[in-house]
Amino acid sequence: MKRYDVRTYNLNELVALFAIGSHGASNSSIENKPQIKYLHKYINSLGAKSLVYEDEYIDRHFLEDFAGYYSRCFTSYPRFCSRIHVFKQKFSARKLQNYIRRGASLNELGYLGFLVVKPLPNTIIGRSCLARPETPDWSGAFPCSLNISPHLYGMRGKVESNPFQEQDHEVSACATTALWTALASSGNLFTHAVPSPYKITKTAHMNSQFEHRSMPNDGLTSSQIARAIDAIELEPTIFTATSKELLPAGLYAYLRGGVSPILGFEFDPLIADTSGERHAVAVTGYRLSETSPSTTNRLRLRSSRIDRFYAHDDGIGPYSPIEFENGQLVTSWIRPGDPEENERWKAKPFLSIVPLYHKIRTPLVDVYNATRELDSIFRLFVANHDELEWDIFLTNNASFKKEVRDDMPDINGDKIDLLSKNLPRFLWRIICRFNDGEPIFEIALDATDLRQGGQVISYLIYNDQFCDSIAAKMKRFDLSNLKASSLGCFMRAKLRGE
Amino acid sequence: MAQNARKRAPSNGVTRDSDSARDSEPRVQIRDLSDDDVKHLIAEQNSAQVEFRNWLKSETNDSQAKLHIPFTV
Repeated sequence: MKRYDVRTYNLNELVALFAIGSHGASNSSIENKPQIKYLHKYINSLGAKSLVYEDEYIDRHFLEDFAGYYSRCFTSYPRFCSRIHVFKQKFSARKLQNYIRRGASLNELGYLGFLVVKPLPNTIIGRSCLARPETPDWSGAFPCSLNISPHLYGMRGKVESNPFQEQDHEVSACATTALWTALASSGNLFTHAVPSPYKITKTAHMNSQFEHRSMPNDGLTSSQIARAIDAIELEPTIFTATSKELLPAGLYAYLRGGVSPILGFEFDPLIADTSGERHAVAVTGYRLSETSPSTTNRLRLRSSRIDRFYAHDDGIGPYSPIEFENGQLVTSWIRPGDPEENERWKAKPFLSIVPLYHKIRTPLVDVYNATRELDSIFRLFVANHDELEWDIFLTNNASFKKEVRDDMPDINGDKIDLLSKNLPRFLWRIICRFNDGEPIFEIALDATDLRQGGQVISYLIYNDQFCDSIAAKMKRFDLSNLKASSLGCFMRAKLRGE
Repeated sequence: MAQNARKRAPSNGVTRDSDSARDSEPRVQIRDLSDDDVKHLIAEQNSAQVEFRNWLKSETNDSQAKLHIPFTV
């Protein structure tokens, strides 16, 4: 009869289970891994009480890496992984047996996700899906998280997560792993198969001018990342903004659309042993602060409220925090040699790469320019203009309709018209709000339209008083000399009531 | 209508402290402008728009050099 391995959660038990599943890794080497230290803190913060060890588990991603690379080593490495399941409830093996008998849901035991253990000597953390951080609904958001449905001994469970794994320095380095996490989200959103790290690295090196050997892998360049994205028929969209103002705006705009952007940064060159080295992570969430952003002469964006991003960083762990401080990123990496282990390593943002569906054609920069042109109307006529902010993000047809139905006020019966309207698959939403979040109006653009097309597909008014006053002013004065792009003109026409 | 909108609108992430106090005040302060004022402000906004475009272009300028530097950590 099967003996179930149920343990009380603590660091020692976590390390012991990783050691059992690995290919001879020692407890001390596992305990000293930065990812294990982070995972212990993270799992603790989720309130874990129990672990269940599943000794034979076939992980599709590892199996592909195994078939392509590990299986051809002289040393014989196993092809089966093992899996550690994490639970919020404390229970015994006998109680687990009862649950199995009656076919309970894993969520009845407070399921928090799982960690795959790879049968390798050192890089042992495989595809792991832990519940996303618990944050108040208004402040934390993880729009690109996936509904993962694992099963254990016939019991099914659900966990909202993004897959994480550490780089193995064999088939993948940081860029491959970040792309692997990002493609899990895009695979769900844009419907494509998610390649394993081995496949990503191989594809990135295909048909390219020889740069360096593909495996053992020491890293990918941005152009190689772009090639791997292109190979699955997505468009690699490179966003080079690095300022405190525009970088969060770009990450936010795509994250809200359910896409996980890859963020590349360069570590603080003052650190001698990794001077100027670059690292890539997959951004998986953000946190909004209550504080309104300081006055800007450019464009007051809601994304300026973001005080933290969460990233799947293969050198640290899932949902590791990244903050902005004086134009630099404060990563979750601990500065080497810091005895207290609390000095976080700083970095300069470098660029972002977003895997997008090919039909998302309207570039974000066009949307910002047109919004600034619309904003100039308010700068003319609204005395308290600095109380307004713009919420700009990508969305899809179903999410747009759901959010408008559930979250927005219905002023003139426009909502029901919108819900029954035939809309394109992807849209840009441009919501004008008061700085306390109250919506005033919004314009939706067809993100799949031609750049020379009309693009504006819907205009919803949430504050009649405001919109009527502005429309009256726009009709009263000759604004023909106020310059605008064709998209800006289309948007202004809507505001004028045409 | 506008008041109804305020009551039903979610704060969508930001807590509002006093709806009732705010409901008694108009939220929008529309400027009373002459034609000359508007002409002057249009000129200002046109030049601010050019500045914004240039800033956006410089911020998002694709650097070819960046594409060939590996991420290695």
